Amino acid sequence: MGPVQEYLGFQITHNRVKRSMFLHQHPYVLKVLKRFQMENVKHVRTPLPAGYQPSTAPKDYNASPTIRQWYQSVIGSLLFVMLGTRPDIAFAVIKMSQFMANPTEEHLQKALHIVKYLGSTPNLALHF
Amino acid sequence: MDCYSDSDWAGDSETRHSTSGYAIFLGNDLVSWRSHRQPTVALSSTEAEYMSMCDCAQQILWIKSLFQECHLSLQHFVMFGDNKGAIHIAQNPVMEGRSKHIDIKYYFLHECIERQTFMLDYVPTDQQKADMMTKNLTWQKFQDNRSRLNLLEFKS
Repeated sequence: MGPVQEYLGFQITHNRVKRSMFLHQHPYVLKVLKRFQMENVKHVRTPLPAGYQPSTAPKDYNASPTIRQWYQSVIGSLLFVMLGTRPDIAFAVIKMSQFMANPTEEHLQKALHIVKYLGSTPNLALHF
Repeated sequence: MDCYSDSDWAGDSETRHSTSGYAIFLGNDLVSWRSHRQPTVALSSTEAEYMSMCDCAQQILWIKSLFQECHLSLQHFVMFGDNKGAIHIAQNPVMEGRSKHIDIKYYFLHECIERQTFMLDYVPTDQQKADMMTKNLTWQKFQDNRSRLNLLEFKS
């Protein structure tokens, strides 16, 4: 048995010496990276480029079911990580989730940019 | 308990809605956070900030009642904002002039202050811990803000 190590998919790493604790979703982040084939991509430093302003799709644009489904599953995975242990991607994910209904290729690229950021910083954890 | 509330102003380029965000700390540790687009348009950054503080206040009340349920009493709830105007409006019982159109539901914040549910204080933007909840920051600022949230590498 010993001390708790996992709870509801959140991993808990103890440091007895420093009397501290880390809360993270490292295995889930790796799973997400694998799902979207982003394991070996170029590293990025921020979730979205500074000052980036997404624009809504043109009026006559209708997202194909494929891209919509793809986009929604990317955002869904990101939302779970964001609500769990990664406040640093909160703004980016919320911003991009506004385009769930009609995502363009550009939106998808930016959502994957957030995934790339997760891939660049998979070891970040909430410290207690 | 320290609560940092922040907002941008008219950050959504299509609808001109503002984004509010907060980060709530128990001691040094981050326990609650949120970033969301405000439901209505704010006419000034003060108003946007005020709405965001109101949002944060609701979360504080919930945390407070959670602690009460566990028979733990927490004193010293302090909410930090980086807009002096908004703090002034919240602490001043009269609403007039340029702030009289702010919706009734935001009077909630007044009530909290009056009942001394929590205190309000000013924090300069460079020490604002909820800054990254409301805008895309540059790498340097992003990194600073991230370490202030107590997000660290758990292994190298």
